Amino acid sequence: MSQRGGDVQSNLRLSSDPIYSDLIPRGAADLIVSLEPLEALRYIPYLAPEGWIITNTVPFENIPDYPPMDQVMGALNKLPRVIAIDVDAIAKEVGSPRSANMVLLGATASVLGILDPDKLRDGIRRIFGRKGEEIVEANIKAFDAGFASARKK
Amino acid sequence: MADKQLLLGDEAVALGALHAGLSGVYAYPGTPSTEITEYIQGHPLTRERHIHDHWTTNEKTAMEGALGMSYAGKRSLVCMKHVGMNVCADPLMGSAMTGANGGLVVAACDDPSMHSSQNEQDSRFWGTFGMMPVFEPSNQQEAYEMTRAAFDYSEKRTIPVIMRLTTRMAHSRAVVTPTGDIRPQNELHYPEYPKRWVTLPVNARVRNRELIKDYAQFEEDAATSKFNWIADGPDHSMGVIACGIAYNYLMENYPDGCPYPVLKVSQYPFPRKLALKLAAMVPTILVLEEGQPLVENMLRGVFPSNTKIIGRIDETVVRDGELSPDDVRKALGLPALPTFAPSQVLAPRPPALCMGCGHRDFYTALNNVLKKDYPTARVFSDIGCYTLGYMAPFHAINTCVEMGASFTMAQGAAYSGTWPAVGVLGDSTFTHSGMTGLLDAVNGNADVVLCISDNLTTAMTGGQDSAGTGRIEAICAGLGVDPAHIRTIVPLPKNYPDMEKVIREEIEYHGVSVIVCRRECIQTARRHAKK
Repeated sequence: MSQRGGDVQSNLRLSSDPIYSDLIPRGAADLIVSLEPLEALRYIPYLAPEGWIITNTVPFENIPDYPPMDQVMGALNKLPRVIAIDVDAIAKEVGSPRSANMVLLGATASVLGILDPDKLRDGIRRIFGRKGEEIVEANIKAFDAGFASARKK
Repeated sequence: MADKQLLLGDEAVALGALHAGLSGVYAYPGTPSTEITEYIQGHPLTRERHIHDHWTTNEKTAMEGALGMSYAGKRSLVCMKHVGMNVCADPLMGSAMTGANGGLVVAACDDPSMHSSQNEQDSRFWGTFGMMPVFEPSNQQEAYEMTRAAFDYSEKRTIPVIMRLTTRMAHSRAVVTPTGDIRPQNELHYPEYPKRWVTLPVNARVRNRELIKDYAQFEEDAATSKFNWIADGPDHSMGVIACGIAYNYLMENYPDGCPYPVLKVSQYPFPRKLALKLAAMVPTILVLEEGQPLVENMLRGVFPSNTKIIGRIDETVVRDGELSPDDVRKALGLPALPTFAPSQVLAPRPPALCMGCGHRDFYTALNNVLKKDYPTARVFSDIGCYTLGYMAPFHAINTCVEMGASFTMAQGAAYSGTWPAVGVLGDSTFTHSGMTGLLDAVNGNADVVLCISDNLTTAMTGGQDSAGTGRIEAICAGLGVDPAHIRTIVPLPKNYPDMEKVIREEIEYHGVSVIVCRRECIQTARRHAKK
């Protein structure tokens, strides 16, 4: 679906207690993490009242009726806990434009609470390890930049 | 063995099969089943043990290949999406009559809510229909363990076992801890009851009566299976029957434990004994099942009963679509969690053909010809990426029913007076079930233009090998299409004039024309370029 430009979402649940449902109930998502602002907005009925939205601000406009950006951002900013950052720009700034997703992960780590950011850094090292130290460092840098930019918000 | 792994439900089935001593996987790709076979193809045990792992041409050849392996005493696995079960229905029903020799497990992955399918048929019905046991895991660990158990059970009762998964079970990852040793593969050995395998009426009548008896035994087994059990609860105002992953959605709503007695069902035939036990405890039973109301229908008799049954049929639970914890919550009468209202500032983002895809250029050229000069044309298509030609901006196809229906429906319409009658399918669909329809067209000398939009792969499911790659024109000629009317074009914007000329010429030829429109899928091309 995503490679054909359709909307795609997945549910991730982490807990020290048993997890029954693979699907997150409406009103129970602690975080909505989105690489695209309209897509973040699509799933707000799933957000818990105290939940966070972490989203990229750069739209991906592949549909003819993409709503005006000020309306999209206006609707997002009405929610109580939103971190909206230009993930693409930050990734470019740290010299790793293809690591936009790591920037977003870094921003997410800043509010995740239940997982030490160092664990995520370890994960990045493990995943990219076979691609060489340079790629690992670029991704860690993007992760750290995302983490720092969210902290500023 | 006890190392934890993070696996999709599909992968848990695959690993379970590998550890159960699998000798062959037989499958045609289809969402959400594809990853079972892909996992086996990528696993070191597959190479080490020379496990057969090639994609098959369609689900029917898959089922037959696996049945042949079972005949020879080896363990085999067949995988497909729910509608694939229709394609393999003949050998599937036949396999209940022959029974299994080596363990035979048929993994059917259902797609309720139709995320990627044309209907939401429930594969559990095949169990009732064919008198075969069905296993329906509710989590990834169970998927692993049940697959191993299914192979053992298949051999113990000499019957194929259907392993039914639904989208969220198939496509969700969770921690799996493999259990037990890696079992050796079976040695070649032939069936103990050779007569069963020749289903002439003289044998089949005898076998049918045996199977009816066996089916009663399968239900007995289900009643004592460790995968089916009753858990009591303090509140006896209602009981719940929760099948497969519906159990998860029930428990999601009761983090401190379900207050009602629960019958969890993961092995069929449905154990009526256990339902009676539950009914003796409660006046009302809520049936939660993913898919069609199979169990609910069975429990709701025509005649009055002391037990009230509620579920999908009376719409206590949403009547169609996949279940969610929210649907189940509502059915349990629990208040909805507080939520943010859906935003008013939304626009749908449907999937579309990739930019640069050859299907786009084919449809553009086809539209240029038909819309301008042949307004009476009808285009019959079927299932693959190219079905997206229905969407804006192309609106290029009139029908899509099932794989292969394009070539045959075009003929039916042509014989009825439709002109031009155009069929469109892809290369993998052509070999899956278009070839036989092409032979019909040749034998009937139908006035049709049949187009094969060949992207050299099975694209919709992620780029698996396509059975006829490199041989499409030869297959068409072999089936009797006049070679002068097998035309090959390359779908690119610069070729539109040539493409349109070919399409026009073949419309004007009153016989069977095949236009092969060939350019590699841009997704697989990108992957090949990286290598």
